[in-house]
Amino acid sequence: MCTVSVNSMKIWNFFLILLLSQLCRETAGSLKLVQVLFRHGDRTPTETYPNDPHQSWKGGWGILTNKGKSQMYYLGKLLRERYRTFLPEHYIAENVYVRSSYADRCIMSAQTFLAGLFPPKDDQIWNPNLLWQPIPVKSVPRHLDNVIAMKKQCLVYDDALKNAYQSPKIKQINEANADLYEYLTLATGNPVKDINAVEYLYNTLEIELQNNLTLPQWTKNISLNHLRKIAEMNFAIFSDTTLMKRLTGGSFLTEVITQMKTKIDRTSALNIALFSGHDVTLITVLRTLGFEKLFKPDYGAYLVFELHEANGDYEIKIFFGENYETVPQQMELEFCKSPCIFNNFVKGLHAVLPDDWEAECSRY
Amino acid sequence: MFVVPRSVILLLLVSEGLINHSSCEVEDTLLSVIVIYRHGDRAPIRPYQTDPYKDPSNWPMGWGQLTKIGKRQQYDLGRWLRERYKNFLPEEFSPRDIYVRSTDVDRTLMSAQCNLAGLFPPDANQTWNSNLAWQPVPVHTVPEQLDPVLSMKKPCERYRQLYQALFTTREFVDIQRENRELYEYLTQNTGNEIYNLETLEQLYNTLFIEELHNHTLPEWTKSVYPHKMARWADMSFALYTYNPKLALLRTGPLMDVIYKAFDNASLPKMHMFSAHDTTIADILNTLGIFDRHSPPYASTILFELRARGVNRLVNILYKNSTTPQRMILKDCQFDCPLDTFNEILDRIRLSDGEWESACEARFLGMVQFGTLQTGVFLGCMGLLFVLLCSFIISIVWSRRRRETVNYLRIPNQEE
Repeated sequence: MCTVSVNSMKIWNFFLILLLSQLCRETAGSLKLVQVLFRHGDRTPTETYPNDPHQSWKGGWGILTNKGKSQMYYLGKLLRERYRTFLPEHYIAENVYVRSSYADRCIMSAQTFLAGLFPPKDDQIWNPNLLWQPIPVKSVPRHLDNVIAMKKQCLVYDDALKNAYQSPKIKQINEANADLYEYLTLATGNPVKDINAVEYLYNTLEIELQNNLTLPQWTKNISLNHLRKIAEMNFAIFSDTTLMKRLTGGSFLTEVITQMKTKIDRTSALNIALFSGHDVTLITVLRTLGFEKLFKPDYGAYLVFELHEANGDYEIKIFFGENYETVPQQMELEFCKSPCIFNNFVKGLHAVLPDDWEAECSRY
Repeated sequence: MFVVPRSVILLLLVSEGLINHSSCEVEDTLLSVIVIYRHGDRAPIRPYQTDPYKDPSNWPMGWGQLTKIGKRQQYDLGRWLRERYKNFLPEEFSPRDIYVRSTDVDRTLMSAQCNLAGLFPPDANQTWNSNLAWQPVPVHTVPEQLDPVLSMKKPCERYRQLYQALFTTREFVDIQRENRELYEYLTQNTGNEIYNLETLEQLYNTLFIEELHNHTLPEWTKSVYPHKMARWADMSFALYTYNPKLALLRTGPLMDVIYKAFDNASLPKMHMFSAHDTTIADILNTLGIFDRHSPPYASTILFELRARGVNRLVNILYKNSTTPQRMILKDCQFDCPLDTFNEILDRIRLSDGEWESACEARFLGMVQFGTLQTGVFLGCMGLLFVLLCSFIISIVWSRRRRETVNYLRIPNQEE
């Protein structure tokens, strides 16, 4: 053992350096395309209930707050830092694609995120007193959107969702919580009959708490954590079955894969695609990818799809950031272990990618 | 019917600044405003084959993209709107006060954002970043192929038919003939096929932008640009709404949105639309107040609804330079009573459903059927034909028989 020659040491060092440089190249040079789906920033409640003592929100219901704007700006800066060597500092139209849900808070979140990601540089400064530049944010009206808001009419899906709410699993939860529902109905003045109503109520209470508002006395008798657990189940119910995943998250993933394909075909100059959505969008997409853990996504939570070129092949890396200020953590796909090659990624998702969304929505 | 013969149109363009505001106008209360503008300065949509400036490095922002000048123009327009409506539109942004819609094109989406940066600089309450005097304001859009309202690019078969038919009219056949030499000259020199008013306008537009950005135009342009080409380029903006039928299908859905914006007090105070030169021209032409020209960058149409006592009055203004001009509809005065304005709009607006059915293709004035209906229709016709034939045959047959009988009888009778 002690007889290891100087020469072989040198060889080892050489390999080590080679390995390191290879690793570095992979993290910077091999990256081809980044796609990010994020939840909007801090908002006011979208709902209230008749007995809610906190019914006046500055700016209105469901709007992005100043805090929310700062969060999204921060996230934009965080990703600028992460992709400093990959993403040109200058905004160039053909390198960037931004699509938002129809909702004001999502469009505004995308705009503020972009203000952080692409502050104008040098010759792009058009107003020396305003270090901001416009970047187009595309969106589709709610009733036409089957990618982010996922509200485009789909009869097959509507039936599946109805069935999911009637499933033995959910019925059992409703039965177990019958007393709670009755209590909440009485206390709020709103009929609370299912997990959906509990989720809406929980969201409102949570936001009120986050804003240091005092919750009414009746909330002392219940466990908010228990309400949260029910709310988390409701987030998951929108992608309960493979069919439901196919018609929601699958539609989104088709968009992501299409962008990757044009990059692989070298027919696109795209560097980054951004999708501005909701908590349900994130849960649905995560579940469609096989991450079925129940949770409630925080403001600015985000999912990253990276496309890398490696050894003549293309590799997918997926990361998740828990909120606007956390560094994203890599996630291991169950059906496509690392290194996850593009073709295997698409193959693995076969069951949840719709072939023809419109046709599958009206098929009986 | 909506008939505005352009020859009879009395166009009164009076600069607003020339008329003193009468004292009663002070008591007017603004109720609702619709703002429609063209995007700001942009790069050419595309160069022509022999273009000395076709290298993309001349336009670092990309073809058809908003330039820094364009951003500034829209920002200034937003500030101008803030000044004009400072007593009407709260300084603090709220989605209850304003709804912004843009065509789904980068330069119009960006123009809207710049305009709003000027219109809604964050006040103390809305400042979220002390180093940045900007706040996000939502700009809504609809993919072009799905948008009959603002992009006007949702396919409409009937419109396509009518538009094609326009160029078979005497007037346009003559124009084609008159321009043959010009088209040939342009085609030869540019390497692009220039064969009608639209392709001529596209070229005119590229030359205009290049000159605006201090690029020296090639020698061959001197004999045709701008004068010979300008007239036709200006005329091209009237084509999409050249007659009432075209206008109805082209701008009917947008007119419906305008009608509804003034009809429903619960809607936001301001509707803002970010669009194109063609949009500006289409609206003015449909209303019969288009003085043929190429609408400049950031040109703006304002529709204002005011209350004066119990009266509701509509004013239309067109801003294509610093001061807005008062536009006077042929069938109404400047302070146009809302009822009269609505009557005018009723003739030129189409709801979504009306537009969809009006767009169905027609043949000899009849709605053309889809394949299924055609099948059913042909089947019925076939059945009818068979029935008719058998009816005729049976009549002829029975006649014959009767004749035979008669024939047989006659001799009997004769007997």
